[in-house]
Amino acid sequence: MTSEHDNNDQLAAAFAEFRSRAAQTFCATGTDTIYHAAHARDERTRRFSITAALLAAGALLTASMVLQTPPPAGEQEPLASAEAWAPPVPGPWIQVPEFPPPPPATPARPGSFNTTRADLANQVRFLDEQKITQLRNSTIDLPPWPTGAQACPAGTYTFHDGKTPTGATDSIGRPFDYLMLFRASLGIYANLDGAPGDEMVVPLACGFTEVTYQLLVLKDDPKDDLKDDRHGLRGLGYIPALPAFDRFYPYNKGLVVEVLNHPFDTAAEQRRRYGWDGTRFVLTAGPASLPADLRPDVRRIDLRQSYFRLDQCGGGMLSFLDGVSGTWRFADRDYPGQTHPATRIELGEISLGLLTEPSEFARQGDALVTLVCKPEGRPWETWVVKVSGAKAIPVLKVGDNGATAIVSHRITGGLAEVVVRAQARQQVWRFRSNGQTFTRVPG
Amino acid sequence: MGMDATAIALPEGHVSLEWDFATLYQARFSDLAAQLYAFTGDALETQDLVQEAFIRAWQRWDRIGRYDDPGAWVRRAAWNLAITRHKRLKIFRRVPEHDPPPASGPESGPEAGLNRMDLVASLRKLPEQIRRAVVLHYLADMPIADIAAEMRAAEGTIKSWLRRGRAELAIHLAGYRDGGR
Repeated sequence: MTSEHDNNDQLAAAFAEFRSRAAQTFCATGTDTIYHAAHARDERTRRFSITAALLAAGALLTASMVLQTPPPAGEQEPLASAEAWAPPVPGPWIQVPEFPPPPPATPARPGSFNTTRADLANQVRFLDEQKITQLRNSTIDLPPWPTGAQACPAGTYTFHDGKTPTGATDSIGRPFDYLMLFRASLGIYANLDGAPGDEMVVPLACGFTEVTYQLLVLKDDPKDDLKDDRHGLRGLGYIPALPAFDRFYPYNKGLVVEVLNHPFDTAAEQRRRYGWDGTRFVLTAGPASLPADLRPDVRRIDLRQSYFRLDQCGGGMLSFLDGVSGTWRFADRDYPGQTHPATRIELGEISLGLLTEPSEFARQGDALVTLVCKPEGRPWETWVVKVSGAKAIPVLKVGDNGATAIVSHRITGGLAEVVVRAQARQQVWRFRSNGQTFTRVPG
Repeated sequence: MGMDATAIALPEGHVSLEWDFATLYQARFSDLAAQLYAFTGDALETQDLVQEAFIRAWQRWDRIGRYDDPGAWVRRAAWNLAITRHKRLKIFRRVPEHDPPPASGPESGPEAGLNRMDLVASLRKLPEQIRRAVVLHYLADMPIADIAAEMRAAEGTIKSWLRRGRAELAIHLAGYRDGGR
């Protein structure tokens, strides 16, 4: 029997090794990220304090003027041009094309877009907390798992706190569970079968942990005669087997799913539409498979898991259609209740390639992207970021190291190469990525 | 020195302290992240929490920078954030306490090297208080008296938690090893 002393030594060794590995895994980004985030918050706090004070004084007219007054001159830098400021005007609501046209042969550049398109996914009706709790404690008739995995059989299952065993185990004895935890994404309402009433589309995992999800469409069970007061539901069907996905939303009686190539290597994305044919869900539009020569589709960038924050433009989920994000109502988690309805983030030049990184994982590709943040329609910050799957990591911002403008960029020789304007001339700066941060390479 | 620190208007007094802040940030970031990752099991959340703690420290740096150990303040802030968010998750999302970390399979994701050791999975099986005590002891190298002060518990309680944590971790880790991993 192992003594407590031995246990302690072994644990100390295990923790020491863990600490050593953690030092390689978690790297501090530049302190500039900290300074800017703190600065932006201070500014916001100051602005909101002023506005609140004015409102409290009851001077409605004065308050209105404050809202329409541009910030002090110091805050307008770096303005790209002397464009006149005007209060933001809501753009027309334009239908989003179901599948965007192929990427342009030449890289898109800021300012080349003249349409603002709203993102349908922003209008999705998500399940609320009460419904989620109900679902996580429901009895559900589950159809066969879409990949046909024998460890995830069809049948009637009663979930407790989002979990129910399938009865199967993996090769080392770990029990398989159906998991409805809503950690990666929430469920939504959608009418997909044409009958009155909405269905619910929920991500469901099957395994000993949440690794791979599939999308299940649920209907309320009309024969809800269960004795234990648990909510009865029927699985109408799964969306056909998906390698991975991020967002999903209803469109034109179908369900659009943004399909990713792999749960842990989300470098490429496709939009596919699925519909109900009376017996099952089938693909009705979009590609049926991911091609072998995967390319990251950076026209739609999902920053939900990003470490990146664009100061006043915030962070969170951004999606781009035709290079323009539309008006994204970003809710700052640090300041609940505050939104930035007039903020736009424009997608500029895109460079595709593969950066050399000490990653253990095969990657299909990276992209460098120019992002221009425009709170209230005015250019505020210009960044070059690396995008790979759902993550965006800053490479350079105008203002860093004296850069006054970003001219162009590309990925070459495994490095990010950015042509900048600094000290009144163009310079080529190269950056190496370690997967978390970029470091400028001398020379 | 932060590249942008000179490009923005810093509160008075920040510039002279910037070097110390940057040193603290670089020196403590990964250690603190290791602690919080061991506690939360979520790499992305960990990165956010640590970053958030440093942002708050910088906002108060004219005061915190004068402390004997500003790192202790940052550590406490990060842990408080982690515990607050953990509680919120439990309340609003009914996250099962002992589930494995989300979106990070044992063999995938940026933290795969850490997960392979099964230490995080084993820690997740411990009750929250015990897990916190174990992490503070083994990863923050804090003596029992300091852990007791930080967790507002008696030293005897901390000792008991550590004893129980060690015993349970030994069982869990042995279970993983015996499972052929």
